[in-house]
Order: sequence, then C-alpha cells, then structure tokens
Amino acid sequence: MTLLYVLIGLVVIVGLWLVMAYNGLVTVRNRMHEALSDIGVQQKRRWDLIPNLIETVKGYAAHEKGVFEKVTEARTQAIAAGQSGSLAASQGAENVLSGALKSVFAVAEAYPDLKANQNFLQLQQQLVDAEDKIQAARRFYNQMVQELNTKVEQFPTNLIAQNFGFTKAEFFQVEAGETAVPKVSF
Amino acid sequence: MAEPQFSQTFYDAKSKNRWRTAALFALFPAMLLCILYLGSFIAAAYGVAGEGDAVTQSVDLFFRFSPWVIAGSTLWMIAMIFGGKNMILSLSQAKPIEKAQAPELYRLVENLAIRTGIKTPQVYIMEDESLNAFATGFSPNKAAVTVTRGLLNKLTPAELEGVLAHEFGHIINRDIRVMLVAITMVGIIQLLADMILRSFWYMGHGRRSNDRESNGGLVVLAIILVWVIGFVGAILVQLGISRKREFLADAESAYLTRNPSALASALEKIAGDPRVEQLDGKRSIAQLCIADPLEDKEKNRASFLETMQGLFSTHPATKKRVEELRRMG
Repeated sequence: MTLLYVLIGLVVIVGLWLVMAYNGLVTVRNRMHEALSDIGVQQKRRWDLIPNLIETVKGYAAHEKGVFEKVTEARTQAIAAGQSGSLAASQGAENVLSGALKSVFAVAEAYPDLKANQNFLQLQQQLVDAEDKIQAARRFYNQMVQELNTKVEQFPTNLIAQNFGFTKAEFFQVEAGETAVPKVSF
Repeated sequence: MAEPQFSQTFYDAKSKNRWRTAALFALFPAMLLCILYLGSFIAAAYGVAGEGDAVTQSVDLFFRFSPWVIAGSTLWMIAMIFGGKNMILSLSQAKPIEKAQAPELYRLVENLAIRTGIKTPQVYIMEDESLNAFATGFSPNKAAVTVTRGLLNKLTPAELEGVLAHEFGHIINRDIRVMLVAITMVGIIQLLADMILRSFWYMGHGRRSNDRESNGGLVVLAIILVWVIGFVGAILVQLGISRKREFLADAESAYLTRNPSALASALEKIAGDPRVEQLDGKRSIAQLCIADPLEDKEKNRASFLETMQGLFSTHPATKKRVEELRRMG
C-alpha cells in the first residue's frame, strides 16, 4: 500500500514537472515571436517615415539626387526582404537602409534652413527613435532565442522539446558598430 | 559572448528573490506571535489584567488582543500588496506624465520596456531640483518609474538611460516586491516593539515601587527579547533590501545599455545632490531610491530601533558602485 502511495506521489511530481517544463518552453517561444513582431512593427514604422523625409529634404536640397535614390532603393530592398521572411536577408537590408539614412542626415548638415525645419527635426527624431526601438527589440529577441536554445539543448528539458517539436532558433547578429546609433545633435 | 553569463546572474537574482519573499512570509507570523506574547507578559507583570498569576494573565491578554493585531496586520499587508504602488506614489507627491510632456524620457522608458519585454511602465515626475529616482510596482507589468525634475535637467540622455535601466533592473528582478514586503512586515514588528518598550518605560516609572518584584528577572528577559526581535527585524530588512541588489541593478543597467560609464557618471552627479525634501521622514520610499534622499539629521532623529537598522545601511557607498561600473566598462 505504501509503495502504491509513493508511486502515485512520484507520478504526480513527474507530471507536474512535465507540465511546467512544457509551459516554460511555450512561454519563451511566444515571447520570441512577440519580439519578432515588435521588430516588424518598428521596421514598418521606419519604412513609412522615409517617403516623408525624402519629400522634406528635397524641398531644400533637390540636387542631391544620388542620396535620395540610394535611400529609396534601400527601402524597397528592405521591404522586399522583410516580406521574404528570411531573418538574415531582412537584417542585411535593414542595415543597408540605416547606412543610407545616415547619408541623408549627413547631407542635411550642409543646409542650415533644412536643419531648422520643424518637420525635418520631427522626422529625424522619429527615425532615430524607430532605430533605437528596432535595436531594443532585436536584443530582447536574442535574449529569448538564447533562453529557448538553452532549454532545447539542456537535459532534461531537451526530451520534452524533442517530443513536442521545439527547435533552436536563429540569432540576430548585433554588430559591434550597430549599437552606436547615429547620434545627431540638434 | 558576455550576454548569457550576465542574464544567468539575473535569473539567479530572480529566484533568490522568490526565496526571500517566501522566507519573509514564513518568518513574519512567528515573529508577530512572539512579540505579542512578550508584550502581554510584560503588561501582565505590571498588573494590567488583574486576576491570577502572571502567566494566566498574559495568556489571557494575548488572546484578547492578538486577533485584532493579526487581523490588522493582515489587512495592512493586503493593502500594501494591492495598493502599495499608488500609496508610495501619492506619498512621494509624484505626478504622472504623458508622452508629449517629456518625449525624450518617455522614449527611453519605452525602449527599455521593449528591451526587457515588459509593458511600458507608467512614468512619474517629482518636482524637485535634486537628483533621484525610484521604481515601484508589485509585478514587472504593473510597474511605475519616478524621476525628479533635477534628474531630467542635469543628466545627459545616456546618463538618464543608465539610471532608468538601473530601475528596470529592480523591476525585472522583482526587487520591489521583496522590498515592499520586507518594509511592511518589519514596519509592523517594529511598531509593536516600540509600543511595548515605550509603554514599559511609562508603566515602569509609574509603578516601580509596586509588588510584582518576583517577576522582575523574567520581565527584564522579556524586554530583552522584544529588543532582540526588533533587531532581527532590522536584519530582515537587510535581507530584503540587501546592498547587493543595488550592485546587481547596476550590472543589469550596464547589460541593458552597454554603457556602464554613463551610469557611473550619473551616480557621481546624483551623489552630489540626492536630497529630496518631499521624501522627508518617508523611510520606506527612501529605501526604494537609487540614492538615499534623506537628510543626515533625519537619520539621527529616528527611534532607537531605526538607529539599529541604520547599522545596516540600505545603500552602498556610491564610490564602490562607481568603481564596479568603471571596471565593467
């Protein structure tokens, strides 16, 4: 009789652990997906701001065609890459876009009237903010990926992960230079 | 890669804080009952209850008063858990602000919320030219961050981000919960201990010459025990509000912002003027702040139990924190 109780106790404990471990994996995976959609939201916000920015800058520096073309091209590429669903491609394209935006702001430095334009200043702030938020969301995403990967690999949660189709996820590569977001002084 | 190591430390901090909260919840009833019985015993020894020997009287008193005290403490605890955040915020006279009123500050908070995966905390400002900040909230998704006007005006954006990230460190490590629980529990214990010791002096002067001398030794023992429990309470506060967690929140800030030197220079600026007048006498809020906002005089005026508590200062020296941060950067 005692043995039976002990066995029942053990089964209950193991059952509880299974439930908790499984739920832990689900939580981490959901947070990771949420972070990914946060990144998407901020990227889209940035894409939407760019046409406005170009219009504003054109009003003051119409002859800087090369820069505008570069940004427009980079934006198109970034949107296409974002919709392709490939993390690496999207990230590459977004980085190119960040570089192109930096050159727009560099050009703006030469036009005092533009730099004093309220609309431009606001757009610039919003773009910097979007970039910061993309950065923040990527870091959170990476942290969640790391948590998930550890759980998927580590014993004994790896047993559950294998049986319920949890797989390792891909990191965003945060480049060393990337943390230095263009700090524009206004 | 430095990241995994760091975040591992914070998971440790989180689970340690769960244990601490549990330990506090287990210890508190025991301490409360002890102090109630000792109080009854001392009162009985001075002939408050009337009939029977001292033990019968004290048991009688104990059962007469304890239910009320226990019910009161429980209600107080529940009030702190559900309303502690709002109470602290209104005590500190901090005002909630909208995004439009301080867009820079708000953006920093939003970014940190994204970075740590919690809901954006409410942002409050204390209209004071000194430099200080604190976070409240019982769970990470219902948190609030408060900064002084001086902090906004005198810090660079990077320094401000460092300070905010420090507060986020407290939020996601659930430090605030442990702090609030510890402060409330110890507050109740020390209030009772103070009441017992004070009324003992009062009664002692009035009835010194009376009979009951036979109980003298035991009464002294009981009084010493009340002191000891008050003292243990101080140690419990130390357990809840360990200095270590300030270092941990600094490290978390460094991890979140990748910029420990900004927090270091912010701390140096804050150390120059952390005194916030509207927090005078509000020790429980002071313990939540990034640097101690109380005036030195204020600290000396405290009751003797609080002086004992002062032996375990809740805030580590800024110099040590700055050293640690400089070492990271």
